[in-house]
Amino acid sequence: MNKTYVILALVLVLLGIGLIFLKANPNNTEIPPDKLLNELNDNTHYISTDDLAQRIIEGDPSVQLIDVRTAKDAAGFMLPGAINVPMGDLLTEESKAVLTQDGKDFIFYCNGDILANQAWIISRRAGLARLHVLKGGLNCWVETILQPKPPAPTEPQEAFDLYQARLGASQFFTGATIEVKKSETKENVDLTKKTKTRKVEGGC
Amino acid sequence: MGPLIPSNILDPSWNNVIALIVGIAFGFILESSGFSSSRKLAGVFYGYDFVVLKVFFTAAITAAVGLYYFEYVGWINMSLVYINPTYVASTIVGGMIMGLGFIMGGYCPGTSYCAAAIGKIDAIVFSTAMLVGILIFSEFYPLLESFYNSGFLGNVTVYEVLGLPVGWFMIILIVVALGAFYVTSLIQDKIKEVDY
Amino acid sequence: MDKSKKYWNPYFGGVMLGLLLLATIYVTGRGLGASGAAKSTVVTVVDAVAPIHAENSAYYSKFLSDDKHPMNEWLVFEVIGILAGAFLSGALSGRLKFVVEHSPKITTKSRLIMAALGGLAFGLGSQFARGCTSGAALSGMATLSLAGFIAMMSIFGTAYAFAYLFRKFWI
Repeated sequence: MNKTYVILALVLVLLGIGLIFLKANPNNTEIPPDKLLNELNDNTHYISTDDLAQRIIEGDPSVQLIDVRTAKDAAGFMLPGAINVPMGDLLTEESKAVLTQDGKDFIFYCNGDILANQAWIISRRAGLARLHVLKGGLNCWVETILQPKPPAPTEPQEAFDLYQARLGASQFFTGATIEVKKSETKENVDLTKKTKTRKVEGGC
Repeated sequence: MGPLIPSNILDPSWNNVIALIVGIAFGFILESSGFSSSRKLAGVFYGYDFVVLKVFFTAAITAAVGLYYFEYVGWINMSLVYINPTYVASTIVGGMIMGLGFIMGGYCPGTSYCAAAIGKIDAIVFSTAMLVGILIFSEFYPLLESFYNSGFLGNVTVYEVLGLPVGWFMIILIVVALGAFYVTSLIQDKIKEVDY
Repeated sequence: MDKSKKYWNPYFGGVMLGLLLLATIYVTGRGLGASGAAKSTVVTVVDAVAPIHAENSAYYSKFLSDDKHPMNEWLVFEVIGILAGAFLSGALSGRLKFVVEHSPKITTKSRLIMAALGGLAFGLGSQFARGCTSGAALSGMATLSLAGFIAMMSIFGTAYAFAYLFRKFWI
């Protein structure tokens, strides 16, 4: 056997052994900033309160709600099936286990949009996928789903259809007819108070 | 940090220029290694010339080892490197048809272009017939479509499927390759030379 | 054998090819290929001869778009390069010659028939496997993709299995 070949073979084996001991650069798993910006800009990570209500009512098993408010706030009121992961705990092992379940769409929510969006960015950069943000958060949820406002008589038919759907959803989530609603949603009173500056029907 | 074009470090308009340069180097290396001779290529199946195995294995290992060192140093982002999708059934059947084509025609597409470029008429015939083969596939695609898309496993790597760390898989690959080089050199010594 | 002396040492060729592959992946994010250019050619020809048929076909239409000519493909330019590079290498080593290379036991005609059949099979198989020996097997193995290893084992396994049947064409 040729001596040169033996040396070359040894070099190759050494290079291979080297790879066993090297760990890949951890920074490399991050989503590049421009890609992240694109995903944020096209707004596809938002899910509307109406869509969410629809999916919960239909019993969609892929919905996994993540409440990113503090444990204290979350103890007061959470959406059905939600798991509380306060912002500070977002990158812990336990949260990772929650956020990497197979076949789930993870929907972050807070009172508004801001915390949920922050949680979305951080988790996305950590390489997680199928993440969404509830547009308008709990404030919008209360406004549109729990206490929908009837449209003005001059509004188009779609507004009435939407209102009917929301009334149905409202009954589903509050568990009774409109009359009982107030007592059922008492725990949200502090939430509704903050939303004095209501916008037009449909958009939060 | 690479890969340069997918990371937008190099403008995509350079794509075709790079393709041409890469192609020239590819053609030069293949031809210089003897891949323009079908009888030299076919030698790997009859034991009189293992050039295909040697070049092929050495190249794949050099590139794979280099790639993972590049990743370690941070020169390349492996998540942007294209891992070809695995469609098990379709790939196996395609590989079998190609294997049959290899033993009959003595070339594969890349080597047939090299051989055609230096005037091998059989290679010109081979590469023209290849177009007919693709045409047949395309015309019958509606019938083949469901098979073509069956057994999809995603863009996965072998070591992920085997559940091995990259380093261990690489060392196994290297040892297998070195073993193959050694064994084939013994075989080649035993088999009588074929003049071509 | 003075003839093979003119060729590179196969391990040297392999390392050079490996470095080229590495550089290609570093720059473009994907490996080498060859059969893709033939596919582009077929798509172009079919589109020119029967444009309506090409547009309605589920396969051709995948590779046709309004803003890009089907020949304006990475692999087409790469194959033009392959032809040029191989020609250069052949010219430098004095290997340019119009010949039909075949075993002394068979005629030129049967060699050409076998080449045609082989090419036909390779064209067909490369579509099933989504790439040929360069695109699927070699580049796939370099990135350690499962598809690359399956393709490689399938191609060489089958070729070995049938080698005995076709031995008179080669030795």
